[in-house]
Amino acid sequence: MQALLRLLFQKGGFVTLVLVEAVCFYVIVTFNTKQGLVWENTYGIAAGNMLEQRRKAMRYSELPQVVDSLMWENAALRAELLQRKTYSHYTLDTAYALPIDTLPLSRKTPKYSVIPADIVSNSVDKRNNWIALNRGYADGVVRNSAVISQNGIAGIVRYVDKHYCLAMSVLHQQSRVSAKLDGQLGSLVWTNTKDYTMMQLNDIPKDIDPQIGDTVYTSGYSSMFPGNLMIGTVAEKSLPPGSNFYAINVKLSQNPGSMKVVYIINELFAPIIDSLQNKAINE
Amino acid sequence: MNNVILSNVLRFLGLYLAQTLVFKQASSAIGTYFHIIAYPIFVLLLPVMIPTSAAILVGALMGVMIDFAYDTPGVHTSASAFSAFCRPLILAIFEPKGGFAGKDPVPSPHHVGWQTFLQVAAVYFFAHLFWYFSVSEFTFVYFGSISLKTIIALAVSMVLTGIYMSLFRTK
Repeated sequence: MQALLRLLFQKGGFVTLVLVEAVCFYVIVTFNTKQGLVWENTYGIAAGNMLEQRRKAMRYSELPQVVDSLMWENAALRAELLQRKTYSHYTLDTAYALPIDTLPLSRKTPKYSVIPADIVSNSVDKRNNWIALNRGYADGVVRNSAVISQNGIAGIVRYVDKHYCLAMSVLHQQSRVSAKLDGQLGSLVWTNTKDYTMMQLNDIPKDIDPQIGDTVYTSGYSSMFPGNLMIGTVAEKSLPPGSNFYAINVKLSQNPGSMKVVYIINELFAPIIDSLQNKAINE
Repeated sequence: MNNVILSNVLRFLGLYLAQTLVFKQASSAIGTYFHIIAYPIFVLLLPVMIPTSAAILVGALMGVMIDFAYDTPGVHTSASAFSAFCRPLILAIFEPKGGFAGKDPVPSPHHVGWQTFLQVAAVYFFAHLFWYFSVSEFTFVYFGSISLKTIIALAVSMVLTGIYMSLFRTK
């Protein structure tokens, strides 16, 4: 006690003041009703603010995980949507006496798996363009999977590494996408025009009358892109003299230069379909 | 030395009794915004050379006793400790040229002159009263009310200090 008093006297008044005021503060808020209420209220607000700030900071630090989980959730919803789109296509066809989606287990058997991916690199200004993605076979990516984005199609996976894959962009000279316009099948190709939001749709016969603004969808008649995905709209059409097919320019609904997140779609039955096709070819 | 202690003890008791028996009753009789606070004169008139820590503890002791009488635990104690801490700083600002003269000097008109004394007392009382009313309200939401009470009480306290010094002529 004597040592404490000596310390207080030697170290000047400030320490003494702080100690006395600390005791006073405790006594004031404990034994005075008015000050006690003010303190409780202030403390409550301050504690609330601190908790709110802490929550915000925590949320900010958790953003990458939140984004990742949302991407996966989005992918799951897209898979579900693709499933429904596919089956509703069949049920609308009255030629089938038995709609396919009433078959046992048909709805419960997933047809697609969807994997979200970030674009690592992308190009649009070359003759043949490629998209690098941050998913590989460790994530379930297989060769020839379709790559779609929020608003349209993006490409086809060609090379798969453990954690990365390389997709051939739709802006590639070897790119062929089976598309349909007003029920007619066509082939969508890239002819290296300067406007990389525009692709060419071939093989649309002259006996239909497509209008500017008509929507072009994927046909689903390939084991890559699911059907009924929007590709774009008819921007220009012409019928070359002597030709039975239109030359149609399609404005892509997804600008290939502004994609950030894409979805890799594995068609789960693709290996079965491919093996059946190979059997047919080999016969 | 004994005289110094005795005179301070007597001042302590006298101001305590005056504050609790007379000024407290008078304050509550006059109105909410009117406070007669004279007991800080005790700390103000402590010897100049007393260590700040000792002044704070003695001031806190006076505050505790006043709080018992006013039923405001901690409020006067806090203000007294704060003003006792401020006192050497105020004295340093208004210190006469050549320092405080004489044996065991106190900041009284006898040592520093009336003008300096009243300046020191005004700043000292302002510190005490503003702290006291702030702690009483415990929020600066009522800053206007705190300031008004401080100004009125400061005027009253300065008059009482003048009367006290004229009556007792502390040396």
